[in-house]
Amino acid sequence: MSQPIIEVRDLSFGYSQKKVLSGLSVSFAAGEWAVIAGRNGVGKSTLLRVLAGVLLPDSGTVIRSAETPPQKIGFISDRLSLFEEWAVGRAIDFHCRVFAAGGFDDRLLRRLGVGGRARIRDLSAGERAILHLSLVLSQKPSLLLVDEVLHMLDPYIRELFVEALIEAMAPSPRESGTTQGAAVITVNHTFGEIERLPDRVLVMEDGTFAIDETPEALRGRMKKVVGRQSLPDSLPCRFKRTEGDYKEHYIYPFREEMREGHALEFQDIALSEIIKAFIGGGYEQKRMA
Amino acid sequence: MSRKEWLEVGKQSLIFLLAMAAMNLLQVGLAGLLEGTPLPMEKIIILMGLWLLVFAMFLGLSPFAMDSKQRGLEYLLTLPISRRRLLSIKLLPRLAAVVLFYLAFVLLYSLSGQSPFAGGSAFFSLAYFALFFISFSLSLYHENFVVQFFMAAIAWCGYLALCLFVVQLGFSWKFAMPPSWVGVGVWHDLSYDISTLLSAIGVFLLLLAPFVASIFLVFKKFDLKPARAFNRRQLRLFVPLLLAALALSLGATYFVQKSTAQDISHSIVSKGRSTENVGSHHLRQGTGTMGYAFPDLRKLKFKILN
Repeated sequence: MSQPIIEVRDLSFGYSQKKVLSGLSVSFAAGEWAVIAGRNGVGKSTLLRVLAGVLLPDSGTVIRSAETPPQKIGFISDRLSLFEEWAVGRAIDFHCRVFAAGGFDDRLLRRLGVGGRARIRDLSAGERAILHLSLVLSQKPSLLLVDEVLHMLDPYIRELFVEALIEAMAPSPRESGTTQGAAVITVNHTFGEIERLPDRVLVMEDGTFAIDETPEALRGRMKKVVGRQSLPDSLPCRFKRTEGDYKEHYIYPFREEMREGHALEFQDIALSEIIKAFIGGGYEQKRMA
Repeated sequence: MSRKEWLEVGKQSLIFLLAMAAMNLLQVGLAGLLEGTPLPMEKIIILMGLWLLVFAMFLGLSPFAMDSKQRGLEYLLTLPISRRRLLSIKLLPRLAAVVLFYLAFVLLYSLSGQSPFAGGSAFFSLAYFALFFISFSLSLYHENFVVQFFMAAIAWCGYLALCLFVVQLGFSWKFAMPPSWVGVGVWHDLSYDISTLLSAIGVFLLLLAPFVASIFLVFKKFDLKPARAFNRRQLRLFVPLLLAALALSLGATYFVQKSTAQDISHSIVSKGRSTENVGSHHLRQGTGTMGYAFPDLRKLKFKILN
């Protein structure tokens, strides 16, 4: 992995009495796409907000590389927060001025037919997301943080959005003289067409990362067994779903030797289902605790 | 970012000016209709003073209200500006508007034939600026503007009561009389008693400092979750600062007033129910009355009555 552009060490953060992030340490490299998943309220959005500087941690440090000053961090939250009474043109002027952006590329907005005079409050969620993305891309960001935005977009806008993210990740000359692409960190619950795109999947549990692997490694380490039979206790079952006689077992961590030891069909599953199994297992453990 | 704030404050000030003009015209017109005579200038000035207080409170409470209303608060926090700088950008245009309106009011007041530095004017000036800063320090207290309004009003009244208490204590120290003898009327002639005036200004500023300091220190940790945690943090900082400010103001007042102390035997004392008013005010209403005249610098006159 190349030099991290942002690193977090022993990060802790809590709202009032509730601790959300607890001793979390992670780093992200330039040009990589990391997806953060986990159950609702586990701290995914909180982490993104800490990385974006919207929240300040209770303890721990956030270390940014020289290529990642605050002006080079782009954050698109699920709130799609912008000044709603403003016209699009005014928002663009303001953003470019405050972030000292060299220029604004309105290609994406033109494709949706959004003009400079349109009021932000009158835009649809998809149009606002594209506007927000365009604003953030004008900063030529080294780090792009996208919090639960993809699922609210229609398929056409989602494709535009994802293509723009991929374009931002492509290596480009930076002011520091290096050539590197932006790191993209998204919080997702669903994957769909972006299943094959992320370089890294992180699953958050109890204030820290329980899983931090590549999608290929993760697909290799979690398998599903379906049927009416119960599984032996020796098989590590992360999550089990039962509907009448029918059972679905999610085995994690799976090892190839398990195929020989047991006459069971271990199925490959998609990333979405893997994440669902992790989250389901987390809820089960919480229930039993 | 600054330009946005100046434009916002400019718009709010213009709306306020129009609203105030309309309300004053309405009140003047109504009074004229009801009483048959035009409202005296003095009353108009007082009404404007009240409006000014409302405007100071509104400006103080408004820094984040528009951003919150437009759902832009989180976007604001993502801008590459430090928290302290952000708060300063919010404060400066509003403070400028408050000062400008105050100067205009002082001008009008003096044009009406009144001295802007005499009588209750000094008290009004201190209270006016204090209201702005106290409101500013509570601008993140609650999402609801009405709740913020009431909280700011309560805090302001508490603050004025505390200031009054310290100033009156200082007055009692100066003249070696029990504090209970000092009435609210001590404010009326502040301008004739320089040491009391200066110590009053010091007290107002010292007791205002915790409000301003607490918001600036705590804003670093501001987030968009319910304000309870933020308020708790602010209170934890505010209370010790206030206690320290209170101790300092008591100490400073004691020092200033004691070093300019005057012997009460030279004051006017009346042991009957009726008192001779030599141009100042009563200090106390109670089992007896005691009147005291400020040493009038223009005509030094002391008298003792039995």
